[in-house]
Amino acid sequence: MSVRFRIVTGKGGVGKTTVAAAMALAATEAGQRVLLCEVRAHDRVAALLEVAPVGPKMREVRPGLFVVDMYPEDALHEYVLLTVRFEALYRAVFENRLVHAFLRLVPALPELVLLGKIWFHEREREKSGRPRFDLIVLDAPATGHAKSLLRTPETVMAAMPAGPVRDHARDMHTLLTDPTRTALHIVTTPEEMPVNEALELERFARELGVGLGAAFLNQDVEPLPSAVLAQLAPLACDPALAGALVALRQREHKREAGASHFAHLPPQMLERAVRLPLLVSSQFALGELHALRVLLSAAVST
Amino acid sequence: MRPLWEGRRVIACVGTGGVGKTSVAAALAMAAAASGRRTLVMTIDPARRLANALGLADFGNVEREVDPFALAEAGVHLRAPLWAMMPDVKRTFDELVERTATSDEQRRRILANPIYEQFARTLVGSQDYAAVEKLNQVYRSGRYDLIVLDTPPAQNVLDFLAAPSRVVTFFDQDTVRVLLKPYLLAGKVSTRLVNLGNAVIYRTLGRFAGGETLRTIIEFLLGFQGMYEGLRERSQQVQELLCGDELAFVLVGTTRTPQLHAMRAFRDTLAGQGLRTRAIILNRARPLPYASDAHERLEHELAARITETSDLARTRHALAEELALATQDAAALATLAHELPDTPVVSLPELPLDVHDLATLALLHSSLLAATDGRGESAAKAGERDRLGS
Repeated sequence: MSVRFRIVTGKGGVGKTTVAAAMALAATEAGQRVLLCEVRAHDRVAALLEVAPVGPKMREVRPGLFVVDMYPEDALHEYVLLTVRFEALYRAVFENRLVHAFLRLVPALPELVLLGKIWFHEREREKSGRPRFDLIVLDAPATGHAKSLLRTPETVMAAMPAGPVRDHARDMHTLLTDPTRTALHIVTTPEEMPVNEALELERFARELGVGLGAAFLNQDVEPLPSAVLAQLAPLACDPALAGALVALRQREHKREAGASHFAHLPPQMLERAVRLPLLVSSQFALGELHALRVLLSAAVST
Repeated sequence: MRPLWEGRRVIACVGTGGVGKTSVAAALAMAAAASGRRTLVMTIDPARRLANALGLADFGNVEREVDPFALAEAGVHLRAPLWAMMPDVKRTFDELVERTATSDEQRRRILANPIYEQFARTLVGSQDYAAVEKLNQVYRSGRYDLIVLDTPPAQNVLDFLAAPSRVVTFFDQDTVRVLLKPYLLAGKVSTRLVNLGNAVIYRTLGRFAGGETLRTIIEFLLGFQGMYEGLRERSQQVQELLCGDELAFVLVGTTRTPQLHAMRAFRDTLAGQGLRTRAIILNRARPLPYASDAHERLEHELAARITETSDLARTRHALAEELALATQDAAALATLAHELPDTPVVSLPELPLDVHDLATLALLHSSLLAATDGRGESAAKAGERDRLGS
């Protein structure tokens, strides 16, 4: 039985959404039923998948691929209903303006609600007993927020006396820390800050006890053949072509710096690493996702 | 182009994560200090080496002067001092409590409440709020001609603008007085004090969150009694500052598609609030490596100089990628400039290294100074010159 909940995170701008979408696409192409969860994404993933905008209501955007853009405020309704069980009671109590204000004070409730929604879908079964989704991919927030999101159940368990919310927090913590059910995928680019945050996330996951899946080294650039820069050195004297040489030098310089950043990653992370190429395209969308899908499908099949 | 800071006392750099906001804010602050403005740059979570370069070894929540000699060595000669600071969320909230508490007893009670720390850290937007609260403090101190604020990464600029009012609503005493205080009393004294409708609410909330949790939160809220007015006043000051004429918003992004989308959304949101975007800074733009009419000659040169056939193919591929990236950047720049005829669009060149020391910051700073005509062309040219010279 393979892991059914995969969390994708990393520093802002490293390509988390792209990797999460490619991952979801890979599983869909392999015949799985997939739920891709975005958090307050304002429809970025819809553009990437070339489908109509997806809101907070889950929608099947292509056969087998369901997408939802979660806003904790909306998810709260569902979550409270799961706890309180009566729609009428929900209306009477939770639509009260003052109660709304109060709910904002329950520590970490929005985060808990997000995880609660995923927890619910992870356990959802059809009549046959088969899970409703073979895979759930969470396009998680960037490092700092992702850390507080994943730590939420533990925090709530520590800060809250007994009660239903605390019980839920324990269930979610169990899901997150079971490596047969959940895997964390760290995405980084070959730059200093993203690599630092990748290290931070790796440490954090080990401390919290979250299983680690493939790490994605994104925007990896092919090295230039070693002889080329020397062979092209005379171009420096040609005003019209010197820019090409500078561009190649700079590219190689940056690649080397990037490689040395990647070299800071611990061996156990490099063992799990999947390199994804820098894709150059004026309209990054489905075609590029498919190219990445092929590269990362092996990494998420275990 | 007139300097971005002309007629302003605060520049807020906004943008999504990973666009180099912190470096751009620091470079802007350098440029202002070099032109004779006493300047403070407030940065959020900079790379450790960049923080060290600015002299910010710890998150002290206090301003520190950036070493002018180190800057001069990097080629930046200041005509006024440059200061830097990193706002610390928890400390800023502590200071806020210290300042608005009505008595020592109240201050102690709040700071000791177990929920307080949780609250200071986890309230949505607490980082945004800490940034603007701290901004308001230093702004009012009058110590600086200009403050450059590097805001927390956001998908939506409204999160940032709404932070002060969100915190005030949070402490709205009505919530406590009308809804929660009777509960606490009833718990201690008698359920008869509570009317039937409210009793349903408490029972349900209690079932939902747990009775003890409910009680702890209410006690926490009651701890703030009497402070609301003070908090609201401060929040109003911050709101006025954010929407006033002395503050300018600068959008920072790159030419990559998702960030272009985000910047358009930022600008529209600001416009919806009646706020103008002072400038757009496109970071990491790549200059065109060569003119299109030189293509054939370049091909010829490559074929003549690169002996190995496979090497030639890989080099062609690399150059084609660089050209495509640069073309993409130029197109994005032109589109933005066309869409926003009234807003200067400045492009900063991609630098050979991550920005983590004063020398690299100085490069960014000189590119910024070179952006003189406000349509981006000269900045791109300057970038090209830098590259050619390197």
